Amino acid sequence: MNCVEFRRHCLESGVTLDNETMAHQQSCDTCQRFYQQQSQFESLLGQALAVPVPDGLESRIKLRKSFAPRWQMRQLAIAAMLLLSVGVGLRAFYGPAPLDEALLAHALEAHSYRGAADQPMPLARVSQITNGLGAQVNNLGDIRYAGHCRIHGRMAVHMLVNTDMGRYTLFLMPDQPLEQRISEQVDGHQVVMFPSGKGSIGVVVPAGSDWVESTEAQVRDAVTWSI
Amino acid sequence: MADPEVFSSMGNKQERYDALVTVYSADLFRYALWLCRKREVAEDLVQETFLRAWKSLHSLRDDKAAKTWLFTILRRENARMYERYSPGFDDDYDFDSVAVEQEDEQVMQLRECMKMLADEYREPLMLQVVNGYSSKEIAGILDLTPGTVNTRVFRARKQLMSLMSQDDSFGQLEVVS
Ligand SMILES: [Zn+2]
Repeated sequence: MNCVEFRRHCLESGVTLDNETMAHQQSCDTCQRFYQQQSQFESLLGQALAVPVPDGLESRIKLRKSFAPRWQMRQLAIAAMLLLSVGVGLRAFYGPAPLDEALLAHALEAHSYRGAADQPMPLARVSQITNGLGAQVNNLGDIRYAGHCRIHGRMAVHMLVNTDMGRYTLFLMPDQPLEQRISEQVDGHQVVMFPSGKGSIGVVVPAGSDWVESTEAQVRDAVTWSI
Repeated sequence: MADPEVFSSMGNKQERYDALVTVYSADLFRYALWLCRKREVAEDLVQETFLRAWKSLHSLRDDKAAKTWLFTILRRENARMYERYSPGFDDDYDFDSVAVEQEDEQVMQLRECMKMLADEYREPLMLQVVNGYSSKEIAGILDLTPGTVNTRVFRARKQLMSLMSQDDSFGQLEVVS
């Protein structure tokens, strides 16, 4: 091995030495110096590229997956209705839009997912998620989950909120304008959507719940937009 | 990095999936952050990746291929996201929560230089430095030959050192051609 080969090896492997390169490094002063500089650079590089992984990432992924296997037409029906109501249409839903379909169906399944979260989500984390889309949520109570999803390619926040009456799902959709309030029963679920900010908000509760209107009122009070 | 063998004994889909999440979610997140620049978006991307993975887990015949498979899904989801959703985000990288410790000036400078690298150089370098993957593994993920991977990480380092040397302390660093 010569010096050029040695240096090339360092720049390709990030100063990981095998026997052959080690031998050259020990026998060549110039390359030893090069190696030391290079090690310093690698250490900086490691620091520059290292990024902390968000707390709870792993469990949030496992949580989301739990919705997946229980896909049914029920969710698809609600999803289709939501999409219709925001002016997208069934074609988009059943057409080449597997990502939206997946997200929305999973999001809609969320409210019936009982194992979701045993504890309230820290408010700082909730704010981080809602603020990212220009929404502030105050006094909504016991939020068990908040995450981003995409509805027809636009980002939305979906949340699970526990109340004394039961759990509901909330969608904050800053980029899905809606002309007027809609309330529909879709296969076991009551879906209420109303214009909010420049977009809309959706609330999903179990069908027949007598608390949908009080929940809607609470949500209207709780959500403000900065965009 | 856990031995891929750990997956082999797991016939159960749920266990197999959970093991994949445990082993690869952090690696995928770091990679995703450098791809899409925002922590929230990066997490979304990783979530999408695993949702896809769950749905098509049956198609992963050989668990030794899991790493390449997951990164491939993530890259595809990222492309799809860009195609379908035009982000209203600015172009800045989101490293807010990185700068908690006393941040070395050179580290910040190097990070700036890293942003200037072409994707084709940055991606393999990242996979090598952050995730500790071999040239062969990176080649599998990026659909390149190991030789091409070596060339790209070599050039990536050279460019970074050259960018750094325009500033100060790495000026004396010898750069081979
Ligand atoms: Zn030498």
